[in-house]
Amino acid sequence: MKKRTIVLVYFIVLAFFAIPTLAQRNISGTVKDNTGTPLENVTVLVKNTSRGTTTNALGNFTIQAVPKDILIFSFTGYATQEVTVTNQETFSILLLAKTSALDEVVVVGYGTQKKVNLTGAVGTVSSERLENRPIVDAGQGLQGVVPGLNVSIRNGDPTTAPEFNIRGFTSINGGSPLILVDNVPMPLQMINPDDIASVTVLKDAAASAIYGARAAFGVILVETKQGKKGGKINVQLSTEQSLAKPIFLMDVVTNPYDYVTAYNTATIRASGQPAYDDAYVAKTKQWVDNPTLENEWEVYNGSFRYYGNNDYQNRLITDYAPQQQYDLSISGSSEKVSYYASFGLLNKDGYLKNKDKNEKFKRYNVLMKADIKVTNWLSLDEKVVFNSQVSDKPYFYNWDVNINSSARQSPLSLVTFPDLPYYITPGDHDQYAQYIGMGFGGTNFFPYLENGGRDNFVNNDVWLTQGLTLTPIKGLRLRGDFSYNSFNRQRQEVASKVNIVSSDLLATPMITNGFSGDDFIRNRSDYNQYTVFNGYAEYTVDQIENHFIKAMVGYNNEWGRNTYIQATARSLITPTVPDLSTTTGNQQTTGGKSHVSLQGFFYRLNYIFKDRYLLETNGRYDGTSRFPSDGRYGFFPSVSVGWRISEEGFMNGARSWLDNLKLRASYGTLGNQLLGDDYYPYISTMGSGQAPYIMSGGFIPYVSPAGLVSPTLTWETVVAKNLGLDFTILNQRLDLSFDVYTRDTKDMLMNVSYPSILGTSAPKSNAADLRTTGWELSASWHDQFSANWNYGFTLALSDNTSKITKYLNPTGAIDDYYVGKDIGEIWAYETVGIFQTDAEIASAPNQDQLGASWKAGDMQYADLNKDAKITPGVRTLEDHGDLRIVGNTTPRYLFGINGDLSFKGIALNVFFQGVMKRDYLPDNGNWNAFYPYNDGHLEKYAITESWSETNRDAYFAAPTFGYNTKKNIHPQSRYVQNASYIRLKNLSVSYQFPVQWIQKVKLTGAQIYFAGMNLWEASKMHKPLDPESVFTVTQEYYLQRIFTLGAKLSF
Amino acid sequence: MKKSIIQAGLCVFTAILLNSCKKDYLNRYPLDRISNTTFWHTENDLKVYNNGLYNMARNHQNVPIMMGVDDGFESNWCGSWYLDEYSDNIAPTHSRQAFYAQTRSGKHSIPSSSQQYGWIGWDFVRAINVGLDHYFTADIPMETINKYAAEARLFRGWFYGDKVSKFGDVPWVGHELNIDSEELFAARTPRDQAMDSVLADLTFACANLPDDWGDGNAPGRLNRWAALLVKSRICLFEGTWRKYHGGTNADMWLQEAADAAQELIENGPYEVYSTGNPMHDYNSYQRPAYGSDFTGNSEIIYWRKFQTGVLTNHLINYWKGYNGGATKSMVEDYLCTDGKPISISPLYKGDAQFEDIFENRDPRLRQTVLYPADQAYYNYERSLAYSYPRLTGMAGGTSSTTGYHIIKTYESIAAGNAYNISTTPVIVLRLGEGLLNFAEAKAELGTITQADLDMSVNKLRDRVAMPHMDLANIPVDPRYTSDGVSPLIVEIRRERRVELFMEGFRYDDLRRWKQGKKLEIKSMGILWDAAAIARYTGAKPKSSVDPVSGKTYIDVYKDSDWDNPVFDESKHYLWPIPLSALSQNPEIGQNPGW
Repeated sequence: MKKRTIVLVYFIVLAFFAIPTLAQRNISGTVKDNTGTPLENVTVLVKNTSRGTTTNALGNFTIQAVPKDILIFSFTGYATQEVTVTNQETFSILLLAKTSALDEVVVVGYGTQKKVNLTGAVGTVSSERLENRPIVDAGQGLQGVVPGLNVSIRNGDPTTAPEFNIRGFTSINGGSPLILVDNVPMPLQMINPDDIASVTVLKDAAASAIYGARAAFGVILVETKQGKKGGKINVQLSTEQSLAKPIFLMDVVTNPYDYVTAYNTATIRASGQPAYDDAYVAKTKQWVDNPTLENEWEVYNGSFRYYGNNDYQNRLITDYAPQQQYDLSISGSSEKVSYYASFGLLNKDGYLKNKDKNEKFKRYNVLMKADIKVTNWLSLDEKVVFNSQVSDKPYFYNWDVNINSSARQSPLSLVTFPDLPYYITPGDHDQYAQYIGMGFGGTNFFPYLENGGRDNFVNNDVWLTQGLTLTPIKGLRLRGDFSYNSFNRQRQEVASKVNIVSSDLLATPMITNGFSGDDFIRNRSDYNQYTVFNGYAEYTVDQIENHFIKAMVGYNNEWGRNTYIQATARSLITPTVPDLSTTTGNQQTTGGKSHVSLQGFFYRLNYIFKDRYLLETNGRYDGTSRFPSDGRYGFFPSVSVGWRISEEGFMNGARSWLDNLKLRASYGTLGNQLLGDDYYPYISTMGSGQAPYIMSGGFIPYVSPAGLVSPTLTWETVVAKNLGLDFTILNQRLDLSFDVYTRDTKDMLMNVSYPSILGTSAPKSNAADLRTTGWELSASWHDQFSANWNYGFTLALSDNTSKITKYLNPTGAIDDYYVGKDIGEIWAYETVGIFQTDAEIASAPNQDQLGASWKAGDMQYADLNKDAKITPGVRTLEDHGDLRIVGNTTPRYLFGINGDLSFKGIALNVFFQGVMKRDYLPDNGNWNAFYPYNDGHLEKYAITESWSETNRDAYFAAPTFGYNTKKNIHPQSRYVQNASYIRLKNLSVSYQFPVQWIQKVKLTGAQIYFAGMNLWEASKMHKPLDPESVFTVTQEYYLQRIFTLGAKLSF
Repeated sequence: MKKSIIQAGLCVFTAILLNSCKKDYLNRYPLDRISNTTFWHTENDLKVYNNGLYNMARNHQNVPIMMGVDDGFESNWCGSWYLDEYSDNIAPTHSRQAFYAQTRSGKHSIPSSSQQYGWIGWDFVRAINVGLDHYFTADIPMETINKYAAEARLFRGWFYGDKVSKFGDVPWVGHELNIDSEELFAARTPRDQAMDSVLADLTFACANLPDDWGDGNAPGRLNRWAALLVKSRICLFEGTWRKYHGGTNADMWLQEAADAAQELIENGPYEVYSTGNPMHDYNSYQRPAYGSDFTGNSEIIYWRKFQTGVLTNHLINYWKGYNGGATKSMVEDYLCTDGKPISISPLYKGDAQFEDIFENRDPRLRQTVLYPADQAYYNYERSLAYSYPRLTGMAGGTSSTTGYHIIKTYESIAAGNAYNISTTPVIVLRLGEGLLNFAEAKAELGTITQADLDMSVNKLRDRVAMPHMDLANIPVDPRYTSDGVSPLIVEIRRERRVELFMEGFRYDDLRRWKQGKKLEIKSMGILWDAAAIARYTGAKPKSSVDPVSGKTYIDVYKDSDWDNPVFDESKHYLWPIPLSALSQNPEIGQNPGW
């Protein structure tokens, strides 16, 4: 009764006020971030009043306002937004996260740090840079994003991991950054890119010294996503549907007449003999003029001849292969527990047109994390990372019959047995009908692809982590975690017999097995274990005015053990049941096991005075099982200082435009014990096994002599110096960071090169030094055109070079390292040009050391040492004959340019990546598709760009195929390629549906996007070379242009 | 209460920390490898270690002594078969044979790094030396140890014999080197000194290897007879080299060669293989009469075995497509059935027609080069659809560069096999060579008797029903009078070329006889006249006029990079030292002329 009266009075009063102020009424709405997640506790204020409220857990608010009132929405970490009230009653507000460089907290080794207080060289990547891109691997997404972090992608194969490098050439023994996911070393391929919350790249010694012995060449720290605080369960479903098209630049000859004439020119030049006889040439001409089936095939002296264009490459390589990604993530929290769980599935097909036999790859990802706050001072965290990869590809029989043979198939090669009215004599069709459609042999991939065996593997990789955090007293945090990894890989290769039909119709038998005669099955089982323990204590003192102190000490140990068993059995009973037990031939088993361990004690001390003078020192005392006990431990300290100039009193005048100005300097040492799989480099052991040598029956057991080892091996040491400047101005619109550095890699383990009569590789010794110098610039600009139009650019630019400063090479052999050698230098002859007449050859310096029988159209090399003959000397610095350095393969001025533009829910992203300077000299080895006629390789450009009487200004020498074909393609200056490039790595357009639309279907967010990867590139390299995969001149899983449609729903 | 929980927690935390810092945490030793301390105790250890030497010698490109054959794709280097491509015996044009063709034409150059068959295989020497340094720690009778030491020293002597023949002075390494060994940067050991060491090795091997290892010789381990044959080969090389190139003690070497061969011939268990069928025995003893198994073949001392489903090769298939064919010079060296060379025998029918060439000739010719009518007998290319011979450019079948298809070792089952499933075995050592070594050494010593010929060369002639070589009646071949040696030596050399065709001796023989000029004779094929052009439809070989006969013959390398072969007497008898060896140790020094 009483209540009802109050309500009544309330309405009367409301009506009383409402009439004079006209339309004061309830406005309601929802506030979300750009992922569609509702934001709780957003302050909503009516401008110039004290009227305000906050959003609830669902992001909803209700407030009284009249039209033309302005509502101000503000929330920490997000850009404040003003909205004018109209007659509308419900509002859907999108708050964009404010990327404030100043407030950002960065993950560092065993802890976090405010970005403004960093004194080391650190690069960061937020999850946004990995989102909405059809990348199969986080590594692909990191390419070009952080200056100094170089990511090389060998090919398009999802089972080939990208290679990471920080700040250039590391050590003559190689060396790559340490990659840690939530503080546990694990391959980045383990992690679904969608689960990554942030990536931090520690580039200098100061930043990475806490990881000591494995951090010599930087550290990549990956943090996975966490359950969000705020009570609500958030479910996100997303999918990407992509089509991948090979970036395939080979320009095959399709006109058979052109092919045979060109080929004949080449063979006649080399051996005086045409490869194709006159009748053959005439018939191809006839087909070109009149391409009928009748003109296409001929049985000549009982053998097939094909005169048409078999369209081999087009029949083999697909235009578009599908790729799908599905992800489901669930996150949420209650008062005591927060959790994040995600499930991902990636499905990717290869480059082959034959759908059934195409390469297939599937990856399943599971990430489960939970944080449990047991008491105020104790919390536990659990994590499960599971990654499963399933790959299925055609068995690799031979270089002659795999994808690489597409570069070697002429338009005339026989592919499949044709259906002709008759073959040798009219009426014999029935006799040969059984062979129609079967594949011919030679370098024809089809029969092996269609009927040969498969190469399968399943990898299951599980990481389990139990963590414990104690906060017993204020300022003290104790943390311990233990992780266990179990990796299992089951691989099965089946090489089963393939039927190859003879092109000789009179052959007996007509069917053989080509390269597949020796059929077998091979199973290999790998089981690897790895454990990681981290324990550390951190104490923070921030109560004392003007002083901030944080100290941390910790301990880490890791242990790994690898085992494998491999069994091979020959002669399958039937290809349909491939198993070790269904064979009749010889069986062979091998196996092996190894183990390795390391442990280290580390510390870090941060001291900040008056928020402007920063000091950090950290270090690690590290031990490894890979070295003898005397040299097993090393201490690697570092120190870094920072000066926030902008906080100084004398800078007060600049406050209006200067947000941050900081100078940083660091110095530190690190150790390198990365020796690949060489776990016992100081222990001399003997090889043993079964030798493929028959004494009576079966292989013989053998033992081989122990190698030479050095008993005094110890750490390679890296001394790194870094000077940096951070600069943020114009209300944080422009953010710049610049670093210069040197890195000395000292006491590198080297195989000193001794005369070959030593009979084995020399023991490694700590005997070489290397210096790398470089600089990095990262810049970003973010602004608005107007309230709804946001845009931004970021630039990552870096450069470095390396030089050998100490090396044992007493004779100065140029094929080895030597003191003063620039890493990447290319030694080659200098090309004068192509000899135009025989008279020129007679008067030119003698080239007999490089080849025989020089003729007009052959290459002339320069006599640099003026001794009247072209020689490589003895390939030493003192006597390198006519060789000189013609280029350098080190990539210079690596850049990534990212551009963002958004209007309300629509966002556009473009990302270019490239290299501004780099040389590359194609290798002239067999199988490499570049030099015309080399090993029979012939593309269209070989015809148009080779020397002839009428094409004297050609790029390539006169066609020659037969003997000694390398004489014109010795390494030389002429063929040094400009390998600089720019590639559009990503282009994406996304649209976020307005909240009011999707609310009706109970969604909290919905987004669709289109993305394209590798859509465009510019390069001056001669086709078919791809500047990004110049390391693979043979045909491999092609790099791809990928077109994607993606959708994300959250509720 | 709360405090005690904290304390407990801290204790647990500290305990975890301390527990992890175990002292031996970083002691990790190999789990799957043996070491010198766990090995070298039993006879089996020594045997298994020496198995490793066989395994290394299997790679004939690296350790070019046993010249067996590789498996798989690598069988395109067909071991001893292809060594004749360095010489005037066969004429390959396949681009994979460029390495041989280049050397044969004198157009090879200094390699930048170690090349196959050359300055390579030092790991083999090290493995031998490591063995020799350790065998004696085994607690077994010295006699047993010496068997394995002898096996290793046979390998070392054999290896160095080959190196000296190619490079002259060589770095002799007689013990395991370490990085501070002086030998690494020393000058080469003079030839004489190195060969003394080789002789010591071979003599030790011949004294200590067992006559029979009791392993069935199938093919088993190298025995004393193998060592004697190798010794006679290397000593003959050295003796004749010193005799013709100038050197000391040539007779001592020739005597060692003769003695070793004589011991093998007189006391060894081997006999020239014969079933009494002179038209086929020469061909068939090395072909599939035994399938893929030479066990029990009376002539074969050592061979390489292959076995279906275990270890297989692709030998014949690579060989037939790559060897090119026998040369005119080779074919014309076969005697007529009267025991006289074609230059003086009235039985020779000339070469106007291909078939004529085979008339009245040493039956080994028809068992080496395909005679058209034998196509079915050999099931050549498993098809009668094409007639042979075939020449480059003719469609279908298999063509040859010279017209002389080689059927010595050809085996049709293997030739039709799919990739790498053949079990074609390869002969490494056979008695026949020992007979020829013996006769040549004795002849060069000037001590040869008719009895010597009868126990050697004439055994080989008996197999093919050729007339005996008769000391009192040696024909004089006008083609070879300018060679500067006696007609007897000419005939013994001819016998060697004919009998050992395609077994890898010719190039070494020419070098040791100082007959390099023979390599300046072009590699020619069949007569190329109007009749031939009409007969071999589609073939368009290059041809040249033979300066001796004035007739036109196929000229295999005409207009190619290997046209106009040269042989520089001051240079080409030895191989060049690779640049890498010179740059690592300038003291090594380059060979003359290079």
